[in-house]
Amino acid sequence: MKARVRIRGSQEGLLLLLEGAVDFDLIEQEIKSRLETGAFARGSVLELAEHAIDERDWKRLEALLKTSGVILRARREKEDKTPKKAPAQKSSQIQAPTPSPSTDVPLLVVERTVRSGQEVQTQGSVLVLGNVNPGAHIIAGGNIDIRGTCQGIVHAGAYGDQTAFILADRLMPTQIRIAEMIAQAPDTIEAPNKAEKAVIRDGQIVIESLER
Amino acid sequence: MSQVIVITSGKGGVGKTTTTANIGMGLAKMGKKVALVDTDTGLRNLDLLLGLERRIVYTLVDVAQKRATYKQALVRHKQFETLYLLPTSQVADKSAIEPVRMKEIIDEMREDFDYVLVDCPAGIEQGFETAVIAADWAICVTMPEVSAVRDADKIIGKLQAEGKEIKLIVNRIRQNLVKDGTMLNMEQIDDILAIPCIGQVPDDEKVIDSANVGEPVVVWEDSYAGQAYRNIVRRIEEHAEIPFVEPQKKGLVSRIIDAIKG
Repeated sequence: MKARVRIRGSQEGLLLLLEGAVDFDLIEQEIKSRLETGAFARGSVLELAEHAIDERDWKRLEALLKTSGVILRARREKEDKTPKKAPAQKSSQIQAPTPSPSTDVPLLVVERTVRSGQEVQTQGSVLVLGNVNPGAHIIAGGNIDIRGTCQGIVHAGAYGDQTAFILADRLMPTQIRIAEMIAQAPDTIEAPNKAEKAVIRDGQIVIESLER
Repeated sequence: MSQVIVITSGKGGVGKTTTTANIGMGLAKMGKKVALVDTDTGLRNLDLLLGLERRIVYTLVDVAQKRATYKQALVRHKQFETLYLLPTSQVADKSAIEPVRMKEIIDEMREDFDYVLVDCPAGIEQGFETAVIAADWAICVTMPEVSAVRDADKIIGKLQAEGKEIKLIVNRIRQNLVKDGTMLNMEQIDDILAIPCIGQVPDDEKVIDSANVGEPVVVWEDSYAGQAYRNIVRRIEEHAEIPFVEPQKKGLVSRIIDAIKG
């Protein structure tokens, strides 16, 4: 089996999965590149099976993650895996619903306008049934679809997925971010009259119109 | 049933205190028993706009720290006897009052008044939390200007997350600037804020004068802003459906006729 390092979303958060005979350099390389793309928010937790790597490597990994405010936690193999209670909703943040263990993170649906100063974060994709007002942030590991006017900051493919895209009925965000690319709005935005999609093509973010 | 209404905005200088004073006096003029509470500790202004600054003995901070009862701190308006002010301290700052204690005070006051209007300071920190905690619903005051609307959107988001209903007043409207697109129009404001509007108040130089003399324009017949505030008061108390109209500057002929009539 080819040696591979993967990071996957789960009930308890983000999991570091090591397949095959992985040496520490491979882990370090993978983690470093993820950290550079800003994939981990400060304070997020990365879990690794308790005895997956030896103690010295564990400490090295822990120190590396700490520089970006990420916490490394040991995952005990025989631990009771009852899901944690969902954290209380803070007024300015929305947490993704707890995903089932064997499938990808389900689509997060936000059934209201996201106002200035509010942030929506999810590991998967998000559908907003409303507007995204200036000053609002949408951060998704997957794609973003806005059934309304998008005027805030939107970041799709936040964990490094360059194929992620952003759709909106009226796409006029202050900034579009896909994976590690950032595009800023021109000085005067004309309100588009068609739905549009932002994707990375040939190494840059482009906007295409679409019918829907 | 008493109503506790907080008047907030996020942005400073859009007219929260002016609006509180005018709506308060307007309701009192109708005979309602009204208490106005200034929570802008350290930068108090509500007392000035009502002409009551020389009569302050105890303040909200004294009440919060139990050196006085709220009844001792209330200042009664001389002309409108059902209008009372609970002033705050100019010497302390917003850390002097905890939201929990504020809720206790307001809940005590509810029994005695038809309306308790809470004048909220600018910002989103402890001052805001203290002002908002006991409110039944909120009035968000904004101006047809991009930064004011951005801040209002943030405030509305915070209030909605706490389950409070909010109604909008757009203040300091300069019709000529709205017409040429410099100021936002109601549709643009509604696109972002999307809450029901209960008032559109024109920019009126008389408001500056009213602060100088300590008398809110709601009682001045010849003030356009005053007329807008009178309409707001009727929408709140009587649920009157008064359409929003631009204040019409009287044409030359009408003004001549008025002059002749004398």
